[in-house]
Amino acid sequence: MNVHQHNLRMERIQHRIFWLSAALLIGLGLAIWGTLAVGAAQFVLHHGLNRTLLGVDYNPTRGQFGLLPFFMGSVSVTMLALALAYPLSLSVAAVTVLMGKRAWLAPVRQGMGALVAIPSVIFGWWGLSAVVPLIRQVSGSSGFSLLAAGLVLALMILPTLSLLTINAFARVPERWIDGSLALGATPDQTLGRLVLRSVKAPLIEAGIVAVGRALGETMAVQMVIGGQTLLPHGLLSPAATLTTELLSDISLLPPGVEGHHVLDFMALSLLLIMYGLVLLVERIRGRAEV
Amino acid sequence: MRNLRWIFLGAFCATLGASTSSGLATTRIHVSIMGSTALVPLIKEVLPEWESKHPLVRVSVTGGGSWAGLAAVSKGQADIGMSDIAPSHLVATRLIKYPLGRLPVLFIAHRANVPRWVSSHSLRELFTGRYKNWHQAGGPNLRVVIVSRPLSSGSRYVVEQRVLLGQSLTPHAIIQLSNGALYKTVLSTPGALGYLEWRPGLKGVVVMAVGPNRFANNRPTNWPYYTEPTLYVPSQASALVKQLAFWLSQTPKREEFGIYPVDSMVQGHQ
Repeated sequence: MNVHQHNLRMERIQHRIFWLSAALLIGLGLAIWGTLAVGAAQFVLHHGLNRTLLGVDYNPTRGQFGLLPFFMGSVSVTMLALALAYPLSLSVAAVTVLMGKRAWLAPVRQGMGALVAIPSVIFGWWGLSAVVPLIRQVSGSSGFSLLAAGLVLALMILPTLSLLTINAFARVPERWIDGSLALGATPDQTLGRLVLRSVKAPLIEAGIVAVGRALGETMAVQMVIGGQTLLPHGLLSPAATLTTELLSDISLLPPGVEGHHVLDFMALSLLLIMYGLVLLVERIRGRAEV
Repeated sequence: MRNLRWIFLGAFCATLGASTSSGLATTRIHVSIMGSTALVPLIKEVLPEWESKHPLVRVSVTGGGSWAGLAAVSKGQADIGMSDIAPSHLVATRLIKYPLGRLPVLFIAHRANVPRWVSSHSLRELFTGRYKNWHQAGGPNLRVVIVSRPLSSGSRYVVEQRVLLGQSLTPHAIIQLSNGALYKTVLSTPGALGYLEWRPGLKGVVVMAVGPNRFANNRPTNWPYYTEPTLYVPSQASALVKQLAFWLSQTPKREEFGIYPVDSMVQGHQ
């Protein structure tokens, strides 16, 4: 066998390995969707959508599966975190990219990268030791609340969000900014009318990525939110989210136990929301590229 | 390019090799233990001694909670299930019990709550949420914050059965997934009341006396609230698994983990 034939043969083997890996990955993804969908379908057929999606009483051992408190919990915690973290990350990006020297970019990015690497359980523990007592002192409540979860999450997503906004701001060519300033625009006008407008799509994309991160976070939220299965009636009331309730009940309702499919339904709902966010990001990206 | 190709092939062969060798390794005997998280530290501590006497047996221990342990052992997903809860209708298979003894469940409160004693009636009213302020239980004017483990916890089951006499814990309780987080929450939240399986070094919290009973480390047998951690093995399990479960249930290390044996207990081994 000459060298060329040998090379061809090796390439064929490689191609097969790549195909196999890709097929395995796709198969695995479909299997996850499939398993959850079958379980969720059984749950919906048995309990109906009205009583579960709009129900407020949750006690799986007594056959009550109202999931509205968890959807409300997930949505409010995520929105709160985004409302707190987004303006901050825009400020970080404005300070480092526009006001600072471009030489600062690399160290700031590295620092943010180090913050991204902190595991979520550490944020949770910190929330339990610092955020919850702070809220308790200020408000007089127990401290375990939507607000505590929102604050911890805001801090968690801040590094990721800042990195993305810094990257977005850095895309604006320096000479555009110089040009704007040279034409007599103030730095604020340059920021508002030039920079923010020209990177609108990546900024929205950054927000959606942050929503995805916040929505999926479990451990840190669980430690500070209080885990109450009741409908929250304010920012200071304890609550639970889809992810925290999944974590709490996974050992109560192992496969085969009656009520297990409520977990499939909750997991599928999360998956659908996340998938929707991914599609949204792709659409924005696609539009920005056109 | 050529190097890259060899790296890929090498990685592939390594993966293949690893999977074959692990395939060979399964010819050794593998025993899995799953269930109550309260028992995991004890089992992990004593297992090496047993494994050193049985070099061909590999034992894995995972938590997951009492309910999960019972479900896993009844379905054959685990060889030994650890549980604080007696199996009921949930478990169809016949299981052999290997009780370890009794593990006291203590009621702990934040230091600011002045009462160090409550009647069992008050304790029930506090945990069900009917008493919302400590002054109703003879304490200061302070809001009660109940801290609890999730529904899957064996100690919660015991509290609901023995203290609340079958009633549910208040839905307003703060839920913490681990005993460690629960302890930290009670330690730092004024007005907090929670429950915990005995553990060494419970400092900074008030261990409540209930009715005529006061918990003392040297006399745990007088304390009426306890879980009964038990190992469950399917009746058709191999002699080796049964022997391991029996050995674990008799380990003298139990007392270091707060589990005291009960003399009158009938052991389930054969």
